[in-house]
Amino acid sequence: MKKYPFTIEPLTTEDPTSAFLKAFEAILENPGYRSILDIYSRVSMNCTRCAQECQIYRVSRDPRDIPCYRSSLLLSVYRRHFTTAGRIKSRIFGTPAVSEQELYSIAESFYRCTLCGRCSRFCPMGIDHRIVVRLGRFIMSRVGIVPKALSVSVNEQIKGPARNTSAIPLKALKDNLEFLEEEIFELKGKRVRFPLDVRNAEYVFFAPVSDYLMEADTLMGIACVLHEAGVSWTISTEYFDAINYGLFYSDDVLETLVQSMFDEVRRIGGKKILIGECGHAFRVADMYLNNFTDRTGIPVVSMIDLTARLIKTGRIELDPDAVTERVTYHDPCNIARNGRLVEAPREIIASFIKNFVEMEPHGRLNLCCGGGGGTVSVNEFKPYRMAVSGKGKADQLISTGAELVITPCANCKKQIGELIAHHKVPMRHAGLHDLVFNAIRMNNSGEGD
Amino acid sequence: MDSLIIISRGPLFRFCFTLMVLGSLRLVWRTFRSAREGGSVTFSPARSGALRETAGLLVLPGRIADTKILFSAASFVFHLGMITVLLLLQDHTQVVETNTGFGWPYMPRNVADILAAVSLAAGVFLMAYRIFNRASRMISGASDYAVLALILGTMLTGFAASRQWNPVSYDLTVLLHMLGGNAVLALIPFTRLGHGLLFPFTRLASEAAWRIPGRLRARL
Repeated sequence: MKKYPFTIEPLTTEDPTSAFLKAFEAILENPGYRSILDIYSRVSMNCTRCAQECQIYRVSRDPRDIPCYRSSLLLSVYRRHFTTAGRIKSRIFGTPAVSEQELYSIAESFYRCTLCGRCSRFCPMGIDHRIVVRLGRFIMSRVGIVPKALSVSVNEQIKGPARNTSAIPLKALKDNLEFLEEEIFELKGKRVRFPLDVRNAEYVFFAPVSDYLMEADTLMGIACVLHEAGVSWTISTEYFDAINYGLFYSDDVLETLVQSMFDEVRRIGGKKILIGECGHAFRVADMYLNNFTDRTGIPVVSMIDLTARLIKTGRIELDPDAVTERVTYHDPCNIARNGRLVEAPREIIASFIKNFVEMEPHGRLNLCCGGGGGTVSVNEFKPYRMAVSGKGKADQLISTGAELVITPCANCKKQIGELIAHHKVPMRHAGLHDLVFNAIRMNNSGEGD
Repeated sequence: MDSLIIISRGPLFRFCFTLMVLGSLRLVWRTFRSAREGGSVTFSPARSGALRETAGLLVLPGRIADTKILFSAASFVFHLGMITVLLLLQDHTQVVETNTGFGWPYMPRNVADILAAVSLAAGVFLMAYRIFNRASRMISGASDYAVLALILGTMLTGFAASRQWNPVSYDLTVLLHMLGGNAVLALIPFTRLGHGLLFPFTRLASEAAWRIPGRLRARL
């Protein structure tokens, strides 16, 4: 059986192309997907405007990386097999059915994309190639074509006893949080708690679970902000992972995990959902929570927005001398491309960092870190992420001349950290709340103070 | 030749025009219907920013981007000139009026000539770009060339028809122009020429497609 690229598992089905077409047909029962493929088929003019803006194509010069070419792979299958005109044309010209080689090309090309969406901002026809790539990945996932790392993590989150992508048991989480509380006391001299399972809290906090393992400063910064401002918050113990890889490849996964988050908030009677420093997690919760759960009305708040608001209203105070390095900021695609969180992080930065330099381009037109779309979680992608998809970001980091790059996203942090090491960029990286942790003035008396 | 021209100006035009109108209405209606069926309860077109972005695509500054300036400018001029001449050239308005009874004001001939020439030059540039630019050549299929060639041919024959330098007879040039024009009209609803009708809805449809609701996903 053919092994698909990027460590995609050998397929279990004997006839992958038939299975692919069957899955495609099932997904087209959703009129929304048929509609968008219909529109894209008719407006896609292959003008290559997107090629100039794709940071992957700029480096690779490989036609597989031209966004409209990539989309055309799936649109061509759609036209040929699922439209009347396409079927007639295929009969007249004897166009062959989708081949296994074609399916292989789709799999290979679609997992080279980081779903950053920069191309969509420049397409004169308004095509969002991310939708096509994601849909293609969704169809492939129904056939079993998924990078192993993604499917293993998702299985842990949905079926595993710990219900999180890193399989961290609850006991380990509690130990870790206790350690962080001690660490805060040592560094800040205040007792700050990470409250667990507090019923009817204002905010139920979800962080990407990897933060509990690797981003202690981010979590300590968040806890200090919430403590200092006297915010009512809690971490739930039965489901606490904000990660939702379904955004990158599967509606089935997306919906299951959104529902898990919703159920957990309802279980402990939380009023709002608070998402930590994670681009895709915020986008998923913000876009899909009410969509999947029939307008439940649970507001979704980003920790970045909340901190900016608390600074503006004077409920927390940051030391303007705490950070002296030359600092730049990387906009995570999932929160910046749609303009959702562009100003808020800059307001936080401006409130206490004096030596700040913007990357060019930045904001909605930022370059991707090169690890988006789930690729950062797949170790076998690393050579590609370093040499191709992340090269543009590495060059951009160097050109700022900054000593420190901030990014409020777990995926971007991992990718940028690896880029800095790989390209020997004289710079360190940190989360936004890592620096807030350094700078926050703890005026509010904590327990045991 | 005369009878062929008469057929092209009359019955053939009426057939192709009707096909274009009905086919286009069906195309837009189908798009709206499926978008509504698949639409999300939480999607707000006004809040999504898609309307503003679509408006930005329609005006020159929105289309002239910071890279590929020449390409973007050529594309804009090509479309603007083509659509303006198509709708406001006296010969065209007369054909429509003769066949449908509806007429509207037309532009001065010399302005139309300048617009047609500039638009044609821009179209030739776009074709050359498709042929000679590596990325564009790699991803262009036969239909991409065919559609552009059909339009350029129609524009060229229209522009050359009454010129003294045109070595081909007036009647043959006009006939070719009319056949090309009729073909363009008839193909709009069935080919990628329909992009002119649908692209104003694309960004909205894209934003809505991200939010396809769970009730539909669950059915899969």
